[in-house]
Amino acid sequence: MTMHDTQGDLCIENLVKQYGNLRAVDDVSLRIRPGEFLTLLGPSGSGKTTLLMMIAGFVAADAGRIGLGGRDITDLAPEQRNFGMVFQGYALFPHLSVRENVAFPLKIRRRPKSEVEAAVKTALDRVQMTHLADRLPRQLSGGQQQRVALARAMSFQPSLLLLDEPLGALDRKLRVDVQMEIKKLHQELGTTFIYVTHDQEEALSMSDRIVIFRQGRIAQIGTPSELYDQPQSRFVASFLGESDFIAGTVQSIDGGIARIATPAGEILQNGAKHPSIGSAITVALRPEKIALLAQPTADRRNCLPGRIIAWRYLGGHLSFEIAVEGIGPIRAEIAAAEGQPFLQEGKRAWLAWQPQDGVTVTEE
Amino acid sequence: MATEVAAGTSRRKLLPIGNRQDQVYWLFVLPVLLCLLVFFLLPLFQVFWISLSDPAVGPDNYIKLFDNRAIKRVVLTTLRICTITTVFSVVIGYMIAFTVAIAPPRTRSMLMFAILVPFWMSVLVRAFAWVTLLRSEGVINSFLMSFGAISTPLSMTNNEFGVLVGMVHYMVPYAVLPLLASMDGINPSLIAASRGLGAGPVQSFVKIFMPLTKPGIFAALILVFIMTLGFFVTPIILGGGNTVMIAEYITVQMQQTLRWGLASALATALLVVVLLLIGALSRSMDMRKMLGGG
Repeated sequence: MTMHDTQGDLCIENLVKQYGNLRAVDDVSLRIRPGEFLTLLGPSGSGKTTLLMMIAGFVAADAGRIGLGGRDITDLAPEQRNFGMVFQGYALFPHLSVRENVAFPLKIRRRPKSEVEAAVKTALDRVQMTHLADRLPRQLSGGQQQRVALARAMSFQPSLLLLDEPLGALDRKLRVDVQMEIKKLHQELGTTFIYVTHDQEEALSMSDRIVIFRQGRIAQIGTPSELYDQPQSRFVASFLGESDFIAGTVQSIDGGIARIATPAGEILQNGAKHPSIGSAITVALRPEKIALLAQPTADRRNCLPGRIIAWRYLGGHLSFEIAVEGIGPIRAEIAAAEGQPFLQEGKRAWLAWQPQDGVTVTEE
Repeated sequence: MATEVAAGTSRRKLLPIGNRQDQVYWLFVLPVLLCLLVFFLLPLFQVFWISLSDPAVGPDNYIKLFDNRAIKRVVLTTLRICTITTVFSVVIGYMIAFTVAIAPPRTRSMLMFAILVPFWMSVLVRAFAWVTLLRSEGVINSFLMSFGAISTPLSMTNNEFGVLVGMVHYMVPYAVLPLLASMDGINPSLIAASRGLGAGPVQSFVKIFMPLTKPGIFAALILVFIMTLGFFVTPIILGGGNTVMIAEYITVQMQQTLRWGLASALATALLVVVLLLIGALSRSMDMRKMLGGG
């Protein structure tokens, strides 16, 4: 590995943090590329925030190593790491004005006065907060405080920006706006962003790559579309978006297509790797991939019979719940017009989908 | 605030008896109010009246406060002792409060207990305890002399030093409480933010933590100063007549020289100063919150 390869890479190797009997971070390894927008996503208590705090230096590692550009920073104090950080709840200094808050990291670094002023102006311009520079944090709205926190975290041009659920305190409408702004900021700055959230939509819309955490371990890493289209486990398939699961037994494999016996009938499933013949298999299926038919189809699509249990009208589409014998309730999202004939409880319907639309997942 | 008011009025409207209930409240409070009036406010007014009428009607006593040399000396002594006591109490109190604020919960409750224990001890007992420690044949002097650190006993009682030691010891817990309240109010993530943005532990303390405890420092300074102004027992016992503060001087005027008018004028002036300081204090801080909530 040449020096150039490791320049600015953040390497996390076998990191462990134990709290009593709980392994908050359990043998996590990860390589973060310079300029990347990486999101740590997971339910609460999955270890994502602990990992971020370990990267920031607030939580000491019990085992493992953190390296930055080939340098070991595992035991470095937070103030020596030179990372920018946006905290949950912003943590703006209440006794300092917006300007002083943003200048704080620069003054600490003893930058010359003219440079401080210029950097503060640039940072505040970037988040469009220059006109409120002399206000105190308590005189600002939540969204404005959020921007000041961002400006403060980037005013000293850190190589890495850590963001701990920065949008957690904002209302839904504002969140979407700020998401766009943060993403734009990332593109302009070219700084590495490590972003913690439990909101999957946030993760999908902003990230270059997402790391999904479960019980202190990494469940899967990938780009948003990789994770959404190719979840490896039941957990990832159900955590990121919604999924239906169909369990069965592999009957035969023919040219990458597995024939699977389920309690409701036989289905086909495409895939590069299948479990051996005779073993159990779970197929995950996105509700929007399913079509509803009044008659069983004769084409190559998979087709299972069911009965309509309930539906919800969601504007552009209808969300059906369909009982499939031996499998349980299956959710299907159908365009409003196509769903019209099925708006009747107990009505018989056939679920159809292409063999390549399902994803084989592990049962975890 | 507007919503609070709205909630208040709507709740009142829900109560069918309305104003009559307020009258019932007054009935319960009335005995206390009468007691206050008869046993506190009237005597206080009498003190004020004596200061203006004894020995002759007029402002003579108040004029004397400013041109009597003995009084001037006592006032200066009092101000000096109170200022030094206040500074030391707040500095020591700050260190203790900080230790408590960052202590884990269990240690914290033990520390709080240790801080509050002196409240249950008589000021008299504490003053005499200090005499035992500080006097010429006391614990400290005999200890130092036993291994030749000093040859003659240090004079630590019957002077201002002794008074200061006793008073600082008495006042430290009063400084700790408002300081601790303000420290507990600091969001810990602010310190983390400061560290994360590049400030070391010392810088974070000086630039973030300390400034955020300013209201607490101000409250502690005024509270301690107010209380020290009226100190009586400690200066008498540890000062041994050599260090006379206002309270003692007033007693002397009352009981020995029988100049009640002058004593009352001094007492009134002291009261006015204290009230002004309390006014300043209540402007800077919620008093109930300052004394540890509740």
